[in-house]
Amino acid sequence: MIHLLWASLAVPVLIHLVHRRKARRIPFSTLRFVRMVDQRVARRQRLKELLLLALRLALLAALIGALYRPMIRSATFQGAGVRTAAAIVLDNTYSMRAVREGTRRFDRALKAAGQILDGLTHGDAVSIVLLDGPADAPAELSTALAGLRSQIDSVQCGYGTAEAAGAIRRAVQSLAQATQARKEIYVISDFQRVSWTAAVEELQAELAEDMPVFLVDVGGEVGENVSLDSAEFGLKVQVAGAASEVFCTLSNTGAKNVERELSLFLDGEKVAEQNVGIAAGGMLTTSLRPIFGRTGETAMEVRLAPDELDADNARYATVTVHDRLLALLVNGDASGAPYLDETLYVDLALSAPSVGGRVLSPIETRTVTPAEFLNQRLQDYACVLLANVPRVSDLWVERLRRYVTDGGGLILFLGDRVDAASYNPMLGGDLLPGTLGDVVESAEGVRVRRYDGTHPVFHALADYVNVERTRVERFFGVSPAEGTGVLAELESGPLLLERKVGAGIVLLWTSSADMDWNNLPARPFFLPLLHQMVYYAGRPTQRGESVTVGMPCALDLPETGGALEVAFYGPGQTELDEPLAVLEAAPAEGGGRVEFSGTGQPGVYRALYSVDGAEQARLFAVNVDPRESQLDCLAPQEVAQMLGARFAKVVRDPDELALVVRREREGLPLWDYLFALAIVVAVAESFVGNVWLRH
Amino acid sequence: MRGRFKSKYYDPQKLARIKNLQLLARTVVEGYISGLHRSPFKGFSSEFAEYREYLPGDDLKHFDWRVFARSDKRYVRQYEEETNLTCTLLLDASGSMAFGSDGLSKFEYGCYLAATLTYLMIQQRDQVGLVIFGQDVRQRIPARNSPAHMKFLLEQLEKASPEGETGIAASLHAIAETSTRRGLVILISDLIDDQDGVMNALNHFRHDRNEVIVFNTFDPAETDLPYDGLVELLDLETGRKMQVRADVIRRDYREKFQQFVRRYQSDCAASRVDYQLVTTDAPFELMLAAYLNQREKFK
Repeated sequence: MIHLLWASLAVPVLIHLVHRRKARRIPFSTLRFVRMVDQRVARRQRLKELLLLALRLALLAALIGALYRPMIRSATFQGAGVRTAAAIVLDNTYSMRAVREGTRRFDRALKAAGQILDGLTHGDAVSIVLLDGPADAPAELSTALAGLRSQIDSVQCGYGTAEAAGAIRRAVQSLAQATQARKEIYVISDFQRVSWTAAVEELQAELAEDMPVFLVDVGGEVGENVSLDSAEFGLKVQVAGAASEVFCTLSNTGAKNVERELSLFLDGEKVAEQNVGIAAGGMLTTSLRPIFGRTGETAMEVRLAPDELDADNARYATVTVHDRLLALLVNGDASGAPYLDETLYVDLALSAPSVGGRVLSPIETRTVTPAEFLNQRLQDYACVLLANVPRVSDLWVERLRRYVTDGGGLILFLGDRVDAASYNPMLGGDLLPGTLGDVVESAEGVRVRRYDGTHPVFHALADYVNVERTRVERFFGVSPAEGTGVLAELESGPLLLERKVGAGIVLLWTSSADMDWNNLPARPFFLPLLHQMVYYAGRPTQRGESVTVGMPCALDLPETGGALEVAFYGPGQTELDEPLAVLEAAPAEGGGRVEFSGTGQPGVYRALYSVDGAEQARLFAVNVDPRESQLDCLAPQEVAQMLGARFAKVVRDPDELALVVRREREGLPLWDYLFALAIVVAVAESFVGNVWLRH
Repeated sequence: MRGRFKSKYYDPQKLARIKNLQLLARTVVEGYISGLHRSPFKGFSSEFAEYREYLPGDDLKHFDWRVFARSDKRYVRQYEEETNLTCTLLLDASGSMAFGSDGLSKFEYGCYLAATLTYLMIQQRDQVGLVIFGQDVRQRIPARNSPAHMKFLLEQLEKASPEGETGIAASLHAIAETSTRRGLVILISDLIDDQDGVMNALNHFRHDRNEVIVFNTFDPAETDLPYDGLVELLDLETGRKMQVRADVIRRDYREKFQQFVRRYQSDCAASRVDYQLVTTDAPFELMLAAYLNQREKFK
């Protein structure tokens, strides 16, 4: 029957031919004027007629072709109604919290996942794999589609970051158990570059060649996003009443230049703020200067005003604010005459008693001779200062190394009694910021040529330091070791050097601590400089714990003599709320140790426990991984290439996912297009035949 | 022909049913003459010729009141008029003149027109000659004025038929070369030929101090190309065929035709040649009027 319809295509051709032959013959006086008529008119008319014929043929062909219900089959077509197993890899890292046109990427991802479920029927199976889900939890296929829908609806976007390779592997493993003939993988993600590392390429061997992979891109450009990459105290030790400084690093990962308000909160109270402007793609470091009003453990939050990705707008920290610090001065050249004593000026500067004898400084010094040094318990001191100590022994070095590595601060002042031949081999390995050379002498004295005003030691002193009248007559020439920073420099060599050793800091003052070799102790900035050096290098009595979202936080707790239960409360929770977890501390060296893993949300957490009936609290901060703020994405095609997927299908508009999947499974029906074409051709034919041809 | 109109009495289609040219000519001429307010049928010189019954339109100054008073009959006085006008009718009998879309060909129309003019001229005491030409001069009848001559002319017209290709310019030059008396030359033709050549030939007559009237005769179908759809046109002169979509080329065709006519109109005006565009559905009155007008000027 349909072949007869094809034969009907001959009808318009016949009509055309018959119509051509039917020219009436008319005797006419002359062809003179007819010949003068532009022959192009006639030719154009002939073309129009041919076009009309073509349109009529196309109209008939489109209609007849549509009756065949033609389809374009995909390369992965396995037959109509074939059972399908689908693994949905859902990106729930915090970049998916980015908002575009009022909708979170993650919400679009959930919608796309819902569309995948809608396209499945009874007997099909699905596994849902979260990108930052636990690597050791295998994904299970389920045929309970209704339950899967509720599962998808309950999935929350996290604050973590993750590599995609693990999730894809889990998805592939889940499909390996499927009994369904057709297997599909869906990756719904913003394809952020940080998640798609080279590890993904290792999956090529595990991914079946003929497996269709749908890459659903829910990303897109983010207009405004400034991330707060870090917020750190410049000085390691914070004291009440003294100005502190928090250095904040910001990155603009959005596409626009923006100005944002940056605020600092201590225990929830805003204590400092400033506006920062940052260009698109730029990075900026600024500082806020809070003054701590009280001592003890304090929660700090630095927050940027909201933008399209809020998750990276805050950094949290806990800090112990001190009212007293203990510093150990080792006097290598003690004298009965105070003005000849090596540590006189250092001691005066650090202790800083007022005229009335009232102690104003938070630093308490204890001065010992080199012989007494080994009797000291270094853990009790925030900082150790050696002043003109002639030589150091193995035992010294061992103790100092352990102290510094554990976070302690060591400040070395040199002098005429120092034996470089003893310092270099003993401390030079990993403690001394450089190799001591000869003593450099200058009768007139050399001046301080430069100091690093951006360094936390000098940053707050910029208004006080006046190096014009400084004179250094003698100092040790030093060749800085690798990784050593020169904080201040004389006209002919370094004056102050810094070396970080483990968790601690070593500062080396290449001249003397008294006025034998220089006049700095008499300069006004000497006192605040020494304080800054101690605060910078010193060790706080309690370290502020901070972990990344999703990482476990281990807390060392004091010895209680029995089992110790610790209740953990998340950000915003009070003791009245249900704790996130209650864990028992395990015995550890010096007390107990507890490890908390439920750090799924950024903020300040509290661990409450009881020691001898007294309630104790420990704070720790959880922060997002700033790498996730880098919003540059891979093109899905690159991801397909990394996966080595032969039949990867990129879906840029999640709303079209259902259509794309249906076409991939069932093929592309062409009859709709043919009917549409027939309508268009019919309109065109009508126009050409009735208007254009007669014009 | 600017204002085409249909005359109730002188519709060429109806007149064509009168096969006798003399009768046709008389019908037209007398009907036309009697319709004018001032009848130019007779000259009104001082030498009395005869009485004639008054016809509406006659000048009342020639009305004979005495006869009317005596006999209650209405007569006008007629006077003999001398004539010195020699009129030569040039009739194109080329193949293209055979075209007629509605039963009346251009040539037939031209014959009726020539016959009508001949009758009028004989009545006016003018001498009438006739030249029938196609590619060349086919027949040449010298100018005379007598009823017998008129009869002879009309017989020749009835015998003639259109055929062959056009050679208007050459024929006109040949006629002009051999004309010895100045007078009025009336050309009845579709003038479908080289326009420069035709105008040269007409100027040849003008150079010999002849007054020239051109009745450029066309069928209405030639001016309008009223056909629809695909038609195959057969050239009556050359026998060539050409298929065209008449409705498609109509606009361009009319434009070209109008250019053709406008060229003759402007060139004839420049050469002081009286040009009349005539279609075969037009009554003969206008042509008669044109003749009479020229005759007045000639005197």
